[in-house]
Amino acid sequence: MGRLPFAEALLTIFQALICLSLALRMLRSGLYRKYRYFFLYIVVSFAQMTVVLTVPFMTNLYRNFFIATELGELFLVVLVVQEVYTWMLGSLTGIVSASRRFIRAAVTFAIVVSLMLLTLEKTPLNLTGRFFLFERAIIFSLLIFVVCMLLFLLYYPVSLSRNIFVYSIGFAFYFLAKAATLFIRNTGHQWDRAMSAFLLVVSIGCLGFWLVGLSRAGEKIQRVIGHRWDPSDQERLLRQLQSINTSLLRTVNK
Amino acid sequence: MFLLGSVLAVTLITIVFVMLFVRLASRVDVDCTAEEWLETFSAERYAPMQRLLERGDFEYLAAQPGFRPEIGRRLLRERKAVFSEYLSLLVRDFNQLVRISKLTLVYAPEDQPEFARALWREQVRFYGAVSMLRCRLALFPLGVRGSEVGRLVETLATVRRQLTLQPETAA
Repeated sequence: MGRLPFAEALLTIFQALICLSLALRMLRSGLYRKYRYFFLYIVVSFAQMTVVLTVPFMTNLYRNFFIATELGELFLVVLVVQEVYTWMLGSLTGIVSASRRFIRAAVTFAIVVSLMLLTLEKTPLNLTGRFFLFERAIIFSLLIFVVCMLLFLLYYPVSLSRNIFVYSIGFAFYFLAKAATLFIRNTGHQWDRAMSAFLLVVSIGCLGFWLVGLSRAGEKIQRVIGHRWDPSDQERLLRQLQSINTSLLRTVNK
Repeated sequence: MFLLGSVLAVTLITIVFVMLFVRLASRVDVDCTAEEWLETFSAERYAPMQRLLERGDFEYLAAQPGFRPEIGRRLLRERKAVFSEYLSLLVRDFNQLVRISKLTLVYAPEDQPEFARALWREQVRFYGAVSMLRCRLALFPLGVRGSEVGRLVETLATVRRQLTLQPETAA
């Protein structure tokens, strides 16, 4: 029976504190009502972090607890991503078919690339190894999917709240770090403690980013990414649209 | 090894095309409002472009008494510069049309799958044609045919027509 290495234990405690702060902030600002799965994910992560410190390290109990809670979080993360893209594209009637087609293609592409990487990973020898393989495939698929969604937003001038961008960019970074560390581990490099510490630092960074970036005011601030004109004022954008319609109608009636 | 090489090559080529696409698509006149631009836009302004690099003009000049090769080279250089300017304007106008089209699409009250698909197709076709034209302009300037320019201008007119056919947006 052992204990979590001191550095990791310290990072886990710090991560748990930031998690708690983020959960409280979401409660106070009312954002938990809109981003339900994300709030649930933060709460479950906090619970996992606090309990994991009490479980004896490097034991079967620790392994089973880790796998069970990671599976639960994985399930929640899939729901979180689905929540993000519902908020991104849910109200855009003009591009419903285009977005559905794109999502189908993005999901297919994500799964294919993720599965192709399995050919580079070593055959797992134990339950933990098999779980990491499975987890890497899911996380990498989600990463590609989130990146594809951001590319979709670069193509279409969709006006979204700043919170949605903060939300999705945070997850893109988190998935990238997690997928990379899992892939490195699965290809045979047993740098478990170093990668675990690295992942903790990245998680703390993402949680801090959400803590600072997500706010009630962020729901009102509209952003369009990747387009040189930046209609942060939704009314100005819609007025411009109305005048475009008027010009087009004049052209048709000529 | 061969498979890995092929995958890397395909990935590299895809990245290059995407970068080219993004670079071309980002040339927009940000100072002009969409309404002003739509009022004044006309594909007719590109009519002179189709004749700029016609061989006929250069052959006629070469046949004149007192012609020297440097006169021909200077004319070619100047015509290439003007053609290049026209091409940049053409790309900017196309991007402006695409920008307005995307805005119309995003805020349309009804689903517009055909328009979205057509817009994507026209963009890929247009940027591909512009890239080829730029290569030809650099390597074989007198090989640039008026019909190639005509096809580009027609793409512009096609997008403009499709934009006119869209239902009123939910503004």
